[in-house]
Amino acid sequence: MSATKEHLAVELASRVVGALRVHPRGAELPLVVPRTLEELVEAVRAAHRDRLSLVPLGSGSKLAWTRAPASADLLLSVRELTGIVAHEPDDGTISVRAGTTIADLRAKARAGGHWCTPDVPNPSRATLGGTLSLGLSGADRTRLGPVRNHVLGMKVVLADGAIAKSGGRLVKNVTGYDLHRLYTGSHGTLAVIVEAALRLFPFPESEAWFEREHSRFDAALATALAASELPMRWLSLSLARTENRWRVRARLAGKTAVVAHEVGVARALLGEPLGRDARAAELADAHRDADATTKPRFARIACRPSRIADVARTLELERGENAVTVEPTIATFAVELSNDARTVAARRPALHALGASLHLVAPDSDVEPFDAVGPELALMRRLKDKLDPDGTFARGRFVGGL
Amino acid sequence: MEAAWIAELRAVVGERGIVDDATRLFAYEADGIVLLRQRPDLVLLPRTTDEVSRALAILHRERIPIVARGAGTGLSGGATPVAGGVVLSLARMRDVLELDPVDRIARVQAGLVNIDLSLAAAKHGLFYAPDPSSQQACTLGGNVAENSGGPHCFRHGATTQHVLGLVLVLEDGTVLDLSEPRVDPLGLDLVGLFVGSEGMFGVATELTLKLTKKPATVETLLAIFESLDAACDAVSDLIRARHEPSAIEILDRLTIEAVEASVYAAGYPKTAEAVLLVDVEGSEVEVENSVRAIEPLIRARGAIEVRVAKSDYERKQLWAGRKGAFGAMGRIAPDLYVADVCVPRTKLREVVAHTTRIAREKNLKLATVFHAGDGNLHPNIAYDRRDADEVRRVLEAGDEIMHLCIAAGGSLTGEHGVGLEKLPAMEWLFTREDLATMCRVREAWDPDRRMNPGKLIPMRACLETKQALARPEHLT
Repeated sequence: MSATKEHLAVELASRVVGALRVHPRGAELPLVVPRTLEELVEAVRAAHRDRLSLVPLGSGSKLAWTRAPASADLLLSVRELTGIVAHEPDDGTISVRAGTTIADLRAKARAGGHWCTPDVPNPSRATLGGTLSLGLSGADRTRLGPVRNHVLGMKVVLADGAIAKSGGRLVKNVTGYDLHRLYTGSHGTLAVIVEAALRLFPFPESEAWFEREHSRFDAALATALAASELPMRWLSLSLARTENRWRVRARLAGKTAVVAHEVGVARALLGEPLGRDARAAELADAHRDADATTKPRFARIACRPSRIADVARTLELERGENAVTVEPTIATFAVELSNDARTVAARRPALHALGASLHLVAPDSDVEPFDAVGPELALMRRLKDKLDPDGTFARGRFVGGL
Repeated sequence: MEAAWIAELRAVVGERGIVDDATRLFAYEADGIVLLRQRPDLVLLPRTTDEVSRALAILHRERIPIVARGAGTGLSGGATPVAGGVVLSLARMRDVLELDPVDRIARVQAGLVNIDLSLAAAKHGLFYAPDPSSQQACTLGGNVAENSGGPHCFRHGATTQHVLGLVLVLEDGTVLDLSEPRVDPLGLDLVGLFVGSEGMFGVATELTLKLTKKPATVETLLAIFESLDAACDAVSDLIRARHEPSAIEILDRLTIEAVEASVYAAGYPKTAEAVLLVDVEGSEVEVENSVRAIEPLIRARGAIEVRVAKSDYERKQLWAGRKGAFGAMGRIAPDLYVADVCVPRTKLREVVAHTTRIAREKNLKLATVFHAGDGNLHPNIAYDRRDADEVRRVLEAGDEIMHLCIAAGGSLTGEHGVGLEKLPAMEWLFTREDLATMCRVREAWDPDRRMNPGKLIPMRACLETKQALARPEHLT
């Protein structure tokens, strides 16, 4: 069943601001955008009461990252729940509402002298809620690790409209279960994230951006791996194919004297930096916003670092002309798909044999986007059933039909 | 005659894997918090995941509660046995299963002692970063259950940031192999959720852990203060100035005295009111730069001496003093109550000063040693458990300190866990909905709540689920 605006209860219908496609291949559904937490709770309660199912979202820019839901009645966006709840620059923490864009969040952190992870593409569109819901880490993962490591606490709205929090706003804390770890990356299947607290990092005094070009992937990979062994902590390190050339891109950031020294050390391998300080940041932002994960269709592959070359061969990366972004120290690939989603999906067994995983974003309708989950799927289903027994959060979008 | 199911368990774990005589059971009555005691009816010491699985399947059928235990060094009663229950000790499961220096991961059995992993990784220039003070004794499985910290978690993060995969045995014996290290979880983050679940979701039998490259350079600064307040302020200044050392620790006067009188004597000046210990690591330039920037900040807060350890030996000695502090305090009184609270790093001075007042008012001996950089305080109260009135005052002080931290925007525990000790305090920090949500998540893993029952979540919060805790018949 898919409800039109007329089928919704009054409290929901009055909040409908338009319609949005739930998935590139899904139906257009009424979009509800609450302006306050109370309105959001009311909307979830109404949906729960009327046995409607909803898809929580931020800006809705990454709905294609999941499957189309089995059935859904409305979309519920947190994008109007914006703003800072608490910012403690001298403690290095920030707590914001989920609709806050990553750009606003990072600007606020920067004003307090901090860097805020994740440095994801198109931050002025991406909301924190959407980003955490997908468990997306940014280009700064090379140094800072996955975003889930830096979520200190969360406030969520559960399927029955109850508000529950976990964690806190402290950089160290083990009080209670880490439910925010469960919600991070749960794709809106368990709860609506309405607020999150993050750990902040010092904003770099100085930066440098390097690029080195290669005609072949193997040579670029060797350069990138050599760069990763240099005595410095890269903020980001990637290799990407653009215009049929492989480019190793590396970003240094930190204290001025340290960066100055590190530039001297890196020069022998990577040449002169293409940009310093503000120019380095501009280049970094521009490349981040054009990486392969910003394409309408792409594949994400992850493996152990020692398997990168094998995975690249399995994917026949050398042959194509499509956009590719590889983060060699994390061992992830993003590969733009054209009409070859089936071909890439057909390599799934070979990738699995290498211990790699594959996630396809917006593939053809007959191609499975997610890898199969093992016996642990039963436990994931029990978690879903415990937290959302009535399927208020639309089923069928995530792994194993969650 | 022995019950049939005990004979079955004996067949699974072997004669050496079962403890049922009163003398030996005594050793399992408590963990590091000796005020909480309960003799288990039986202790099992399996050697493999398969044995754990078969044992849990039998206990599932018999509806018997289970408390998993590492080395029993925990400080919140997380491993305190439950009446009529079985303790499942992982102490005999201590093999390193795989150590991959290229991918920088290790797969180990859960009973491996923390320090032994770093020793095994050392020849590859790697180490395991989380370093609880008990790392010479505590097990990695226990660290996973409690999401343990340690001084160097300031830079490297607590245990959860280093766990890449787990082999889990659920309450009915089901084995989930989530050991393959994944960049991001496939589906819900079961591994991340499990870490810190205090033994209530199942038993982790094998761990896939991240190894960290040893830093090229490490320097240790020792700063000596005439007041504890000033040392706290110096730390708040370091955080405010966005410095990133790898560890920032404070020891107060009573702790210094105890350490210096013990085998852990580190050369801390006995007349100091507080010492601040700062580790800085990274490349040579990075370290040099940091030390140069940090030193004047510390001096500006009135440090009467700041010195950099001159040799690796001296550095190790300074740290041995810090890590031996809990042991050394045995000299002050027979027992030690170790509180473990967290506050924002802007509130260190006021909260530390307030804890001192609380102890003074209650006529208790307080020694404070803490992970100042993380805002993780350990006010330690020395007492004698034979003195009932003193015990009462200690527990009251513990409650007051927790209230104080909550009021300052802090929390109940930074690395020791909630366990039994802080159970009632959970209702001070969390709402009924918060706790009910934890309860529901717990029931997805353990529907009958037989794994480490009665810990972390106050029973009341779970009443709505209308599920009675499985109570066993007598274990005979």
